[in-house]
Amino acid sequence: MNQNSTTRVLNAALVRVTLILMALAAFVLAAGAPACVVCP
Amino acid sequence: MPAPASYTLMILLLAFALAVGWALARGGRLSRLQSLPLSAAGVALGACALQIVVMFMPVGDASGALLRPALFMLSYGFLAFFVWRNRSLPGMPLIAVGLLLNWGVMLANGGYMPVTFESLRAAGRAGLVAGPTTGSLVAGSKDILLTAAETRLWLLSDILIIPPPFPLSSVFSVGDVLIAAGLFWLVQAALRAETGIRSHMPGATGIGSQLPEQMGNCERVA
Repeated sequence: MNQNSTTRVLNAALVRVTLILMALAAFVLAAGAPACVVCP
Repeated sequence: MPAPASYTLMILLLAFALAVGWALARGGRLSRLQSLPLSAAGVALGACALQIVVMFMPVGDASGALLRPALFMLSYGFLAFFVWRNRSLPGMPLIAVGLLLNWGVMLANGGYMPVTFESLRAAGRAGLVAGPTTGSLVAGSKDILLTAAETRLWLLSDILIIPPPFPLSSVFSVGDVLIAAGLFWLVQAALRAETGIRSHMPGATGIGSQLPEQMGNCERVA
């Protein structure tokens, strides 16, 4: 039970860190003037 | 048609990765990022997604020619909202200035970021466009080819060049530099904060704001 709770908290933290990294990366890509998706 | 913007994109991603790597090398931890009270993360992701869609919109008809720059500017509005919601975070004022500079020069030039053929050539990227035809839109990017004389707010456009043989030779703007510097600052503060960045921002709400309580639970059950 305790291990499950710990696992849930750690999973939530991992998701949160991933989301923050994705948001920051998305922001910098969108805010930077030129951008492309398929880079040569 | 290939896009000159791609190299700026890569450089900004590289700057972000370097910021994370530098923070980790100096004793920072990724786990501390969870305490970053980042708000409106979905708005940033949505703005990026919108730009990706717009970049691949057909540009042939008149409606597309009007819609593309309008949607680019709308996406910058979303980004401005994201910055405003996170204005108390370290480095965000610098990021805000960079965003406004890029937004401003694009607004002044019909919704696109101007780049000169000479700049592309100096960066060794002249082969990415068919030719020096002014006013040409570059598919898959936010760029438009203009001469320096035709460019409004030329100093804020893509005029900074990393020439070959440097890796990722590219053309970018002053705004891009400020955004990268601000993000570097933010990442250093977030990953290296000993007690959590949240302690500097009373009343902050966002992705990471509930985590200390959760971690408290984690410590209790461990």
